[in-house]
Amino acid sequence: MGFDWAFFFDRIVNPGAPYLNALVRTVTMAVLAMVLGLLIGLVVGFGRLSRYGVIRAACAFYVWLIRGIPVLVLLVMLFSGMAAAGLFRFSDIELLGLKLTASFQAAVIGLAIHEGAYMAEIVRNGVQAVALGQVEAARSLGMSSWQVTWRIVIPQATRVIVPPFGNDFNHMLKTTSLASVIGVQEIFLLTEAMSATTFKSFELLTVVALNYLVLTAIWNTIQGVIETRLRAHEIDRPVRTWWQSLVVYLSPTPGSAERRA
Amino acid sequence: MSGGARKPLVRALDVRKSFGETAVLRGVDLEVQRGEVLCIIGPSGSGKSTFLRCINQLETYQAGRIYIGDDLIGYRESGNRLLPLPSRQVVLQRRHIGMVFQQFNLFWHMTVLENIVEAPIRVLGQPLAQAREQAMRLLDRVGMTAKANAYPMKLSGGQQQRAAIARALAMNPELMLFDEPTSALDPETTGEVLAVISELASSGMTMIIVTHEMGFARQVADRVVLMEEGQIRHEAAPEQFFGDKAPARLKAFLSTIH
Repeated sequence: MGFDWAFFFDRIVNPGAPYLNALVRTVTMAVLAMVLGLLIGLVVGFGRLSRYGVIRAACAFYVWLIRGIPVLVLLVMLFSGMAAAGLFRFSDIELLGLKLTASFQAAVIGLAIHEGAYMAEIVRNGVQAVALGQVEAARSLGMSSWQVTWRIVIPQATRVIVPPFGNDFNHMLKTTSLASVIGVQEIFLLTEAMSATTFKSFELLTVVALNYLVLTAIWNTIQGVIETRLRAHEIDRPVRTWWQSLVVYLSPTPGSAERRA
Repeated sequence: MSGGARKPLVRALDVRKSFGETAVLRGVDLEVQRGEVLCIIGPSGSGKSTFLRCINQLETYQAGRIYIGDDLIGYRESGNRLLPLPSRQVVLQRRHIGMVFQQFNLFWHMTVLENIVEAPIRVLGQPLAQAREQAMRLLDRVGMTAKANAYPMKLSGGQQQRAAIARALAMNPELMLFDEPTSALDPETTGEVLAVISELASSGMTMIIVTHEMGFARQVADRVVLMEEGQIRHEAAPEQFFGDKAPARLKAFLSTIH
């Protein structure tokens, strides 16, 4: 039999509406989980630097606990485990005219809880990387704690946080495939369902692998643009427009033109 | 600006502080008059910087009193006891005490101009145009106009420190604190920073300067104090302080510097 190239290319050119929907679902799930995970990470990460021991301990416990549990186990616990124990059962809801299935909600929340623990460590490192001297300088100018946090700490911590955040999102795009286990209709579940009827599983899996590859490649490009913009303080000129940044990012040695000048 | 004309701007009375078991300040008594330039010298670990940082509450002191004008810094008095002020009020007290640090501490993600207008806009609520205009005047005063739009990373240490001085001045402080402002600088750039501080001193600004630059202290100070083991050990006008009649202990310290 061998690899059915015709079938393979047909799947790429004509993926069909159900598959495209699943692709949108994959991306939506990753983005929502990442946004929620970032919020959890900000709260827990700053919590780990709290002046109150109880808050520090609680946040450290969260990180320790969640990083010790496989995402797959977490997802099944949230969706099936809690329902089986009668603790909580996710149900389909409508939000702004969009139908969110029970399994989709569980997947987003589970992935966010998982991501939050990792983001917390990233946030904590970022905040600690901001030189204490700058915080003292800001305080000496009469800035309040909030002003110091929002104007000095967060903008600088962001530069440190963005690269590992990007790596986590890259990871998240692929980790969404685990949501297939609780029945989220994302691209991997659809691929498996099609494999069962067509028996061309290798071709279909190659297509889905390529899809993940394209998603992560697109994200890596976006991440590069963001990082270039955040490096503005290293060069004596205003922040570039996004397309200028893209050109610099895609050129062989990013930013070399400025350094020579 | 209440009180008599002779009332000192800064009054420190028996200020004490320990870090754990280590007593860093063992009863510091000091007065600084309005318009006076005071230099504090002394060996490292003598508590000079800690004392300076207590004045604007970057460190808290544990006993004694520090007054700026009529304000007791960091505390309110209740009978004989000192009760810490809520941080909101400490923030207010800091507004008009400028501080210049050894490591400059410019905000790394902002241009020089943004560094200077930040606090006047956020803390004092100045309109942007007014803050910028004032910032450009200050940059002119410290000779940094050309670098207004540069990021700190692109500046030499001396340029960073001059920008940091302009940043502190933008809050119109009535007191300026300098914590070893030239210790992190190359000899070539030390001079340009000292020149800016000298100009400020002659303009009538009240200043407390912790420094190891004896020649500078001699030239710029109205009064010099020696701090040792958390106490003021000697205090005199610069001519006497560095003169032949200075006490033996002071001469011994000065000889370790030169």
